[in-house]
Amino acid sequence: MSADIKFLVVDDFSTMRRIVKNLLHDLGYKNVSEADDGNTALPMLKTGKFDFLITDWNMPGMPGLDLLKHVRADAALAPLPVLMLTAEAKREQIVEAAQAGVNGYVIKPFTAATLKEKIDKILASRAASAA
Amino acid sequence: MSGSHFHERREHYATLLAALGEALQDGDEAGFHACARQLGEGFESDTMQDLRQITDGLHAALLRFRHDSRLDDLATREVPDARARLEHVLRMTDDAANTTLDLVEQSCPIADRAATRADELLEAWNGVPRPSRNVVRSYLEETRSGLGQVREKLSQVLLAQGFQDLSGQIIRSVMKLVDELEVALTHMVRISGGSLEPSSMLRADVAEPALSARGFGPVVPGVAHGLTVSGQTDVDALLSDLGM
Repeated sequence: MSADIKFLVVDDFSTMRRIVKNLLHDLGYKNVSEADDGNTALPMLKTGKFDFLITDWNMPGMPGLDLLKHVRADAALAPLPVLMLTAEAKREQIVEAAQAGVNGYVIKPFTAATLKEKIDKILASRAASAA
Repeated sequence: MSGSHFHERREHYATLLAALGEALQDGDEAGFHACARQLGEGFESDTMQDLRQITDGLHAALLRFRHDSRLDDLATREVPDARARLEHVLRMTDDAANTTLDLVEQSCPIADRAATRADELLEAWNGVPRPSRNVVRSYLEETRSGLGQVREKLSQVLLAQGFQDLSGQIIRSVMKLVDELEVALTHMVRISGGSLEPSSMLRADVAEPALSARGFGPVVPGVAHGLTVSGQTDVDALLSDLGM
């Protein structure tokens, strides 16, 4: 895994997408695409062009949790690393996301260091399981 | 016809009925008709009076509702205004965030360019021949101009954050209106026989029984959200407990 990783950032607020995109750029990841909800994201993911999904939870159309469930239910997409980046703070929600197969959960407001730490951790665990 | 009218006019009806009976007995057709007409007029007049009273009461109630209650004003003007104010806040915050992001995106390449040129210059400085005065001067001029641009953009970033003050004021005024609306609605519910206390209806977590797939939004201090995490450390601890 390297700077060539293709990210898809899903959030209904364009400003948040820009913030995440800029943070990813600063971390050296230049290949970042955007979608504004699960309905837009899913067909993009199905093209098979993405290596990492970062998604918000609370979005109109298809929310992030449903997107996660769709990804895990699709054999081709199931191995995709998914990081939830959200303001949803109920303990039961975090448990539900974990049960649905999320790889990381970052709560808003967040710092660049937290985002980096979670991405690094997910990628490291992927690399270890692939080795 | 109300009971009080009947009692007031009891004697009048008794006289008329007696006269009606007499005229009937005497075979006085004209007298009989006259008495019967007077009786009918009396009934009509009583019904009209009752109707007038009901109409007046209704009219007064409508007027009182219009003048005394703030609901009319709230519903027709202030709530739509509040919606517009919140939309404005949303637009303002969106604009400010985008302006800030634009400025940061414009500043980063300037800083990057200056750093790259400094690296190149340092590398050349260690070699032979050393860079000419002109090359060094050109770098210094370019850097001075670039840093001036970055400084200017940082000032604009600061200015763009001014939305916070304005939006804060607008939101505070909308909160005041919501308070007033709550009181008015509670009053209305009380009039209609309910027992709603202020705030109980606003604090009710409608989505609480079932976990909504759509999400609940950010935690707002003072609003009941159920069991929540207080930050990333809590999230990490919870996920760790779950074996992640």
